[in-house]
Amino acid sequence: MAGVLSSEQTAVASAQHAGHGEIPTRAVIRLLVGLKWTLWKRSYRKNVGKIVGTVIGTLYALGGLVGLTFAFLGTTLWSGEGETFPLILRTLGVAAVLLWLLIPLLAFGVDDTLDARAFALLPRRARELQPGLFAAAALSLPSLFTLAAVAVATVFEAIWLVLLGPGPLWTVLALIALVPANLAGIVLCLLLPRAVFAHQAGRASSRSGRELGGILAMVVFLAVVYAFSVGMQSLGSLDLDQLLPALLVAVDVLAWTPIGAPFAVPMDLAEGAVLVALGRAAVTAASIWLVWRWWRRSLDAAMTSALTGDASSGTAKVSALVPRWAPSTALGAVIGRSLRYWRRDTRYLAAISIYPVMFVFFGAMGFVLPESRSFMMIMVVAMGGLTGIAISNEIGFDGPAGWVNITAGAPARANLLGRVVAAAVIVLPIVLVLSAVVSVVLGMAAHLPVILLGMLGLVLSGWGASVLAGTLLPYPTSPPGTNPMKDKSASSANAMLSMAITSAAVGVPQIPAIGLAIWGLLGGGPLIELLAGLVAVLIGAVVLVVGLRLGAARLERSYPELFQKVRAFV
Amino acid sequence: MSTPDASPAPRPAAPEELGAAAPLDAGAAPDSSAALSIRGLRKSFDDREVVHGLSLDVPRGSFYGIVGPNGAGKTTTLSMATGLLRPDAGSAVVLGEDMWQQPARAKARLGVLADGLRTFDRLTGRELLTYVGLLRGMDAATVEERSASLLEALDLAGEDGKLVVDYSAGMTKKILLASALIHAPRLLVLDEPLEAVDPVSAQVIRTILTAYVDGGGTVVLSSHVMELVEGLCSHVAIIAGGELKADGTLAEVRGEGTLVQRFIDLVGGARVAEGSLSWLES
Repeated sequence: MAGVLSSEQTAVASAQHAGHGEIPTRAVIRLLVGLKWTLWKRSYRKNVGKIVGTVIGTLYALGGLVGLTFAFLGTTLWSGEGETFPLILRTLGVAAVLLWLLIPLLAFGVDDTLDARAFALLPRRARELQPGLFAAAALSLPSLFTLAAVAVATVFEAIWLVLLGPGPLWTVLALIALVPANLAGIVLCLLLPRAVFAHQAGRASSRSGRELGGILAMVVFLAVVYAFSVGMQSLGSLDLDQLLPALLVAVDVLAWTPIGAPFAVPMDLAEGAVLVALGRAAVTAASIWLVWRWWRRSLDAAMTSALTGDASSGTAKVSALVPRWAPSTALGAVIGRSLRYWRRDTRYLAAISIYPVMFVFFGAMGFVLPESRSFMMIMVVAMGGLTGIAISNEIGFDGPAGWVNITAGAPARANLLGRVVAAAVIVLPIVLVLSAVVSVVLGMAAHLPVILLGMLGLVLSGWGASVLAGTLLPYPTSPPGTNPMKDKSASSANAMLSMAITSAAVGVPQIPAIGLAIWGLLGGGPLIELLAGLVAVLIGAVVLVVGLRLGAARLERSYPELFQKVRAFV
Repeated sequence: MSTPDASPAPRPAAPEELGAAAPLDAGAAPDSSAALSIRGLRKSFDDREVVHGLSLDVPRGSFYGIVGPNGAGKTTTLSMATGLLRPDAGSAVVLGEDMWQQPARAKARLGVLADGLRTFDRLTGRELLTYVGLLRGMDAATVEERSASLLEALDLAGEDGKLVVDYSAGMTKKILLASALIHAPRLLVLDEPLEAVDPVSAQVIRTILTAYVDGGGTVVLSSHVMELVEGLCSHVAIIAGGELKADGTLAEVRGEGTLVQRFIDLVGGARVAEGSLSWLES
């Protein structure tokens, strides 16, 4: 580079100009917080869904704060002197930090408005940006509500210490430690998820690995939610006295980790355990320092490898596009492409990966609550029928790639039928086997014919309805490989409308079969049940044929218009 | 890319200067001997018309370049000519078949490379070619044979197992070109075929296109790189503001000067005021 510059230009280039100097930390903080504020405000522009979501979330949070205040009021008065109040406070502290760690990790991710990689080209180091990034992170609704909640807790802790505290000396010591310890707790709440995510983002991983990780996170999240729900249902039969000691031990152990230490310190002092309090204060300080350093290291890494996150990928298995059992025609090509997308495009994977979780959930619920078994079985059959909706926005899933089909003059019928066949190959075995297993587990094997035939009928009519809806109401989606937890395409008004209509169209034509099934199950006998199943399959077949025919006609006529609606991914 | 720094101050073109060839009447019948004959194409988005009754004939066997500044309506026009966007008015006739009256027959004669639109990129290159070939109703053996030779010629044969989404920009353009060629069409419409392509891939694409035209095929390509069009094309059209500013053979359109010169004259250009960026130089 230097070789091409004249000596005069070299002198210019090496001169220290304004704009390359130092910048005080406070100015960086002000800039980054201002930037975050501006971007946050703009994210609401023309985004009704986000406004509504924020309003609802805020109302929930306000309700939660009010509830928390009253709960504290009751707890402070009820628990009185002794160990109960400190125990409750330690538990709440553990819960707060755990939630701040787990919710972003399993569900929503951290807000990445200010991604360190965006600063890679500026002459600033992570050390200079970090305080500003932290301040910007603190400027968010969840952190503000956490701050408010901790403030409520602090006030009641102070009241408890003054009114019911163990002795003047300990009360004063605890009061002194109260605010710094709780603030340290909040700092840790904010830092932990950021550090973990910055670390993950900096690690080079393959595209398919990242995408599968997103799905796995969603499945784990749903499994945890449902397991919790099943657990709550069975809680009634458990003895609370057995649970409490276990909880006590768990909280006591966790209070020695970064997760429980900060909020525990004032209560330790209130109990007169100076050494324990000092130890936990040390744990708190050390963890904040370590997490801060860890975050900085990941930020540094992110700023020097701004582009590596998107590179690299695995290799697909090389095999013929058209499966051996399908014809080597346009239909076979569509089947082959759809089958590959079911495997390689996480949007499809996400659509079906929920079902095993749901089936296990309904099975477990039926197992735990014997009186609800028939309801759970009906839910399983209905869920199976709704799997058809997975293909209700095929044109939208193609998105911009639709131009390939249009310019190649893809035959409309093959284009739609191929997608149904691919869905059948992937989904049908799963739902039939799973529903058979659930029905056996719930002791309903005697009704297997009506369950399986009814399910098949529902799935068929689901495909028919979906194919038609997909050519009437396509809507733009997120691109292939979007993390399902971050996919916002299903929240648009068009998506809601399409889903509602399709769901109705799955069940409504099946009303005669449903009526027959009810008659059969309520005493009509196995023959009526069998008849109901056969009628369901017949209706399903008719709906599928009609849906395909109407859908193909619509696609033939207006593919360019449909394409223009979905030509940009959201 | 050289900058037109030596050009005189730009001035708007006088009407009589427009177009070296006689301007086409939007009402005239399409020329069925042309490879692509466009008549009076119009398109509005949100009540704002972006293509104003554009007419154009692409002679068979020509290498036809369409140039214009960003937002000139090149992509919109080509989308209407290739069946991706229904025109509000006007017609596009591909080798004698009307794109919007006889879409199946017009599309069978036409190969398209769209710009800025993703393809089915979760397929490998070979799978994408098979998909497009079978979709066009070709028999499986021919598709396989032609895929192999296209992948070989475009230097993509070694990439089996790599998904198109992981291709570089140059590789993506090459696989899209292969998809447009697999049914051996007599007309190719390519929107920015060399955008963001490295010099090696660009040379491969240029060689294939030149050979295709030498063999009697017709290529229509859009670009905003004048040097590329000047080096490749036999004919050129300049589009700006949704209107045809000039068309004809390269010699007719550029006249005495360079194509860049002519383009700036017709489209109008801005100059950087002298001294406004002086702090960059000191």
